[in-house]
Amino acid sequence: MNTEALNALKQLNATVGQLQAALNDPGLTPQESGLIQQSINDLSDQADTILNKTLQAMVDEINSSNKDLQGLIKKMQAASDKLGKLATSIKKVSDVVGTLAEITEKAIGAGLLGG
Amino acid sequence: MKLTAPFLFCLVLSGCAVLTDSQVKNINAFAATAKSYSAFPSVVLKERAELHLHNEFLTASQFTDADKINHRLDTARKYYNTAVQLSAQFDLSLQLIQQYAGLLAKLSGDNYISGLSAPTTELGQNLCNLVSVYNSKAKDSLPLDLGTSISKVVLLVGKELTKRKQTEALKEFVLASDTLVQVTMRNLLEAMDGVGELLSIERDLFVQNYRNVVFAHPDKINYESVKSYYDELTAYNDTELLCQGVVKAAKSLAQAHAALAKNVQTKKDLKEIIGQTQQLITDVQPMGPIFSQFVKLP
Repeated sequence: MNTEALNALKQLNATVGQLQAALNDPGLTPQESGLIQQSINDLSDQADTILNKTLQAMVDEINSSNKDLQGLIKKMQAASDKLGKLATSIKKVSDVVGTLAEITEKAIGAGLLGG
Repeated sequence: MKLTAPFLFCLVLSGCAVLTDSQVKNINAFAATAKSYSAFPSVVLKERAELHLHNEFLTASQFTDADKINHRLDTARKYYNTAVQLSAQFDLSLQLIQQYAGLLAKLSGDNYISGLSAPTTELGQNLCNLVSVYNSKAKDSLPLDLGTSISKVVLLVGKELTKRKQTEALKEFVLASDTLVQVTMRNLLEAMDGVGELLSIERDLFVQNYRNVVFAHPDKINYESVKSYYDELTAYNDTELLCQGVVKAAKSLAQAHAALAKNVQTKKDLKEIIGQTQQLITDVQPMGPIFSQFVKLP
């Protein structure tokens, strides 16, 4: 977290507070009142800019490892797919042996193979 | 049984699982909890953006010049939209951790092994039929359950081989990902520390604004304005509690993963679900209903 940005925000807000208090003075001329309102707007705009930049910096920090995380997920997905294929291969081996047994059984039954 | 030799041979070929069942169970318990993780920071950030918007309204409500009011409201809208967009990006790394947990749950589940039962049962039946036919024709008869035994061996070898590959992958990924998980969670915690400070600054601004804009004018002090002040302060308290919830859950997840990585380094029996995973379950599960009040869960 950027301490300078936080301190700048605090200072801007404190100044806005002082200007708001000044704006409550009933003896202000319309011109003076307008200038104070303009100043409050300018300072608030600056505060909003700092806030957005601070949030953006936080987002960048949080997501700095995302590329590596995505790489890990990709590898895990590949490993999961590989395991699925292994199970399928075992099933295929099982099916082939089963079919061979069936063919042999029929061949013996028909006297094609010795017994 | 005559099948003992080939049976053992096959087992040696396939090797043994590199993790015990209890270790796999622990990984699965962690993964299932992390998969249902709901303490997303975007909820806190969106609430903060709302509170900031209220502050902008308060500031504008002190103005008497329509142009100045419009300027404040235009800026407030732009800032709010950007802040909401940014808040969604606070969840991206956690969403990736969730995807990781989902794959960990899949890899630690029995979905690969359970699919191996059906074809081998069929194989057993075919082999039994073959044995019956052979016995009816040959002098030296074969055991009638030979087919079932071969079927069991195929099933067992298949299961052991899959289990070995499965546990190898699990161990590899849990160990390889720990540094990544720790760095991600540390970055998140640092950012949430900053969010907590921003919330505190926003609250101070609200109190200051309310004093200058409302309480400085006796004619504006009434039941409604005092109630509004109270409600807004309550909203700040609630958001701070949400922020603490995000921090607590993130810390818990990091600790649980570190403990998991430590416990899968060598093959050993774990008596129960390790303490840090139990703590993660305790910390994360109650968050679901709280956070779902603010955002629709996926």
